Amino acid sequence: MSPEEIRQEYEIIERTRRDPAAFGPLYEKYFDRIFNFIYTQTDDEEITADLCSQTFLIALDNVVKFEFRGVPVSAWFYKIASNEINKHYRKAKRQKVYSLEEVRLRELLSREEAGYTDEMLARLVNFMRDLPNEMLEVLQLRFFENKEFREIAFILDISESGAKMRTYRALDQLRKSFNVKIKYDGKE
Amino acid sequence: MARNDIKVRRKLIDDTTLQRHRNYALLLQQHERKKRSQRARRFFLYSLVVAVIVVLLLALVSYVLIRLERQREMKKSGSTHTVHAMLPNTNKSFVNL
Repeated sequence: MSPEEIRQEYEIIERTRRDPAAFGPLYEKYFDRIFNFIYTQTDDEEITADLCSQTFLIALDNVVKFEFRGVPVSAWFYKIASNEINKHYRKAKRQKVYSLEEVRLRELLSREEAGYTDEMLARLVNFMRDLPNEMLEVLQLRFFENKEFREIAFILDISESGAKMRTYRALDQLRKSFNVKIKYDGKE
Repeated sequence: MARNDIKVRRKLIDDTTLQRHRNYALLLQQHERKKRSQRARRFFLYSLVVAVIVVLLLALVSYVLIRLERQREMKKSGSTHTVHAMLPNTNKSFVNL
């Protein structure tokens, strides 16, 4: 996202402080992404709809407190969504569910391996089942949501170097388990 | 037991599903309702605080007034006693005179 786009979004936030109706363009722009992000971590359409509407409501209610931190406004939405998801699981006392799109998983594997098989996918899923939650979070944000480390750090409330370290560790485990080459930044 | 439950889905979320849940007008309504209830709650809390302060002030003022009144009464009763003590002397002197 270019600095110009970030600046434009901040202008919308400034306008929203005076007139809540000005929030519309941001809602329309990010609704699908936030809905998908939440759905990936709940696998339930109704819960996702509730959490998604809650996320935007919290954003709109707290727009006055919002501070510029050099990251796109979407990172703020992801952060609220992530907190709401965690709150939901704490309340429900359930094991966290990740519902990952096969296409995305295939992309992750096909980055390195031309010979992608269903067996490899099953192994990847098994591998992910035992990954600590914080590593799955960074993998999801980095590779499925294409977020920069700065944004990941903001969303997960950790330092940028912490975000890099977590990604590196997750990828290192992936490399060892699958004996594949995966670039640190996930880009080809 | 595994740490996470990982599911793989082939179907992506379609536009119809997203469209069904996207409702900006409802979001604005909820925001307005929340703001109104927050304002009402704040008003109630401020009123409560003001009422408590007023009651405390009234209690303080009445306490001070009662004490002053008591002191005045005590002074008054003290001076009456002096007058009683002096009366016989005055009478006496009057008689002597």
